[in-house]
Amino acid sequence: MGWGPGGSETIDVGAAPLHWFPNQAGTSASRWLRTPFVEQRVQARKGSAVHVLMIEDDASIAEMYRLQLEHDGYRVTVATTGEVGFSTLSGSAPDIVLLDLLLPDQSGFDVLASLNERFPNHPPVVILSNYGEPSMIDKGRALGAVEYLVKSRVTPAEISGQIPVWVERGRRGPQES
Amino acid sequence: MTLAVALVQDLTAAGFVGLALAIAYRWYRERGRAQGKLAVSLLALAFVAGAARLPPSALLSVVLIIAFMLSGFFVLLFRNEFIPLGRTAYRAAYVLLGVSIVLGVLDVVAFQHASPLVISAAAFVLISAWAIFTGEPIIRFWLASNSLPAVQKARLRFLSFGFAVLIAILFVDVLGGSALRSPTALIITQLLALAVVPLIFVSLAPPALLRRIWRMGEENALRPAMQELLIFSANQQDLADRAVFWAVRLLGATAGFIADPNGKVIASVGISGQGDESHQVVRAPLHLGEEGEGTLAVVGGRFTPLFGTDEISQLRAYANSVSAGLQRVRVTERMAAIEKNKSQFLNLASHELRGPVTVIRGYVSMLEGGLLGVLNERGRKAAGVMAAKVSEMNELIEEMIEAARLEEGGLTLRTVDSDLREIARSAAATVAPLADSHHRVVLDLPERRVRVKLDPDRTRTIIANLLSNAIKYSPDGGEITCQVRARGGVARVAVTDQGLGIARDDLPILFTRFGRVITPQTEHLKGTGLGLFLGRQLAQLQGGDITVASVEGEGSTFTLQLPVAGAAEPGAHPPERRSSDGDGAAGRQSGASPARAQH
Repeated sequence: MGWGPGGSETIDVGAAPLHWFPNQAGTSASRWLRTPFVEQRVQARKGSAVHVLMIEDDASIAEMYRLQLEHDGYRVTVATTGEVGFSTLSGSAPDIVLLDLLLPDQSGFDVLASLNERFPNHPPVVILSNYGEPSMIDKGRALGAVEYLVKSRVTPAEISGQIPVWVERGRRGPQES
Repeated sequence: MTLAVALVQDLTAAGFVGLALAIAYRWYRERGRAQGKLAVSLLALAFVAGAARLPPSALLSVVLIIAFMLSGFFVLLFRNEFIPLGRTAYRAAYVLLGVSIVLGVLDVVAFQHASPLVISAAAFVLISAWAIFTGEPIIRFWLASNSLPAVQKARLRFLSFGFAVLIAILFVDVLGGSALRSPTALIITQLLALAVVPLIFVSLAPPALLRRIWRMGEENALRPAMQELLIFSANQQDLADRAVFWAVRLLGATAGFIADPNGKVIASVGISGQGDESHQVVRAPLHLGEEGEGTLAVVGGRFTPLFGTDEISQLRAYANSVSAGLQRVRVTERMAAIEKNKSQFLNLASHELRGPVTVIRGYVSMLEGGLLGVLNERGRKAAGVMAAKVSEMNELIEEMIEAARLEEGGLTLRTVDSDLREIARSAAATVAPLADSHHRVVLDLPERRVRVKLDPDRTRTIIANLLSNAIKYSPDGGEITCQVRARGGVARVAVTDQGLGIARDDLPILFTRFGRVITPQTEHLKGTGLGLFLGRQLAQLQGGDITVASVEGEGSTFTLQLPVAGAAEPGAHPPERRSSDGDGAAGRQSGASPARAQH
């Protein structure tokens, strides 16, 4: 499972997050993304758990997801605004981001757009929204979200079950067609 | 012959006197400065024409020459009222007037015995001066008339033409000399001069018939424009802009505006903002219902000679039409706003409902899954009921959103080559939980695949909705068949039940938005009344329709018709939904897990 020119690099799970920080997104982050440690973590569920960042301003929804995801062995960080979410992303390296679109300070699309700009190799982003308009789904996909889901149509258990797939898909790089 | 000449000369003189009196009378009635100047000019001309019939004397000659020069000069002043002369030109005109009068007096007093050449030259100078006084306005008016609407154009042209003929006669008279002194030539010139009288009169006071003829072109152009203006103007601004444009054109004004009841100008044409001249303004009220009274005003410019009572009444009539149009637009705009509010409300409400439903649905699924602790038998049962009810609620929300989207025109279909049998099968599977033990859902599918090119998710929704209706309105159970057939390019999905049936009178409301048939048997059943409305709209969007046949008390058959896909590209896509693109990934069916979540 080697991807790109550096595919033969050794797996360094513990140090991986350290490679992913703002000013070196171009080099270290890509290295971080190339290492297939995620798969290992997801399958083994031991050592450091898969880190899920949920950017969601509705506390009841965030709490519900935290309950399900932590039960399933993930590490969950909740950010209630786009700003907080962004700084969390800059500081630590989540394996996947669950992004709401209607945030108090900015739109989720804005978060995703600036993420694309500042960290071209950011972790996979799944949009969880109350809006299911085709135009918004298209926009989310155009911005590189690996998935766009309408919250009321999915249950936390379904999301939890899908996370490894998305992490894997995101790890393979943007699936732009 | 001389008698005839004298008669014609008398007639001409009388004609000019009559014309002068008519203009003087009009001036007396209306007291316009411009009118006054023209009246003076014509009175002087009439005096010349009349007094020339008197026995000649030196004094009379001097008076005649002065009167003649003044008649020309006042035409220039008349023009000055509309198109102000430059300061230099104005002074030059006065100098020319003075010089020509002096020359005229000299001609009478000193040149009595000079050679005929000198006399002719003096006469030529005098007539030239007169020609300059009148000729300049003629050309000016003629040029100005080009940019004017029909009525004003015709008036100015008649006036210009009249004076032009007079100039021509005078020049021919002087230059032609004795050759034209024959009685015949005299009669002809006098008759021509006489013909000028009606020309000038008509230019000043055109009879109604003539005005109507002149205006006909404009009115013919306005008639089709009027419909455009009043019926098809999309909003108030559009209508006001068009209305001002036509008001200005109809009346031959140079500018115009429409003000709302608060005096705020909402549309204007040709208003430059440099109000350095005094303008003639005609206003007509716009009756705008409870809002009050607005104003439609047109402003005359330098080229607009006269606004008469005709124009005022015309503007009034026109303003009434515009008022009606403006009120129509306001009502339409208000209705459009209400309609928009309604669908915005529907949209907002449904999106806002998704939030709480997400939480309830999530927790209920976690309760059912045992994540929140172990439930006893009754607890599990309650969780199951809650899950079913939340799913129902979710469906209603989705329907509302779909309806709102449909109304906004924001609905896009994702058409794919599909097998209608597969769609019907999966629709039947989604409604299976709704059926009681005494319901029997029978799928009657043909052996060969039924190829259709449509939005599979939405088609499934339509069929599932027909099936769930069939179950819902068959409280006593019975067989529900879902028959799929294709014949003659039309695919049909017929859903037949043995339920309550629908009374003939109630059939029309079935497919209306929020339309529900309420009878004692059905009033306890829940529904938004959106299902069939949406179903039919979605079917029609895909080139099909839904029809119904029902006998009250015996059951109903709802038939979904869809076009069969052309014989091209066989079996392009499997009927299953794509799990990674389109709305399908967004989990259209409530309770449907994303495909990859299963393992």
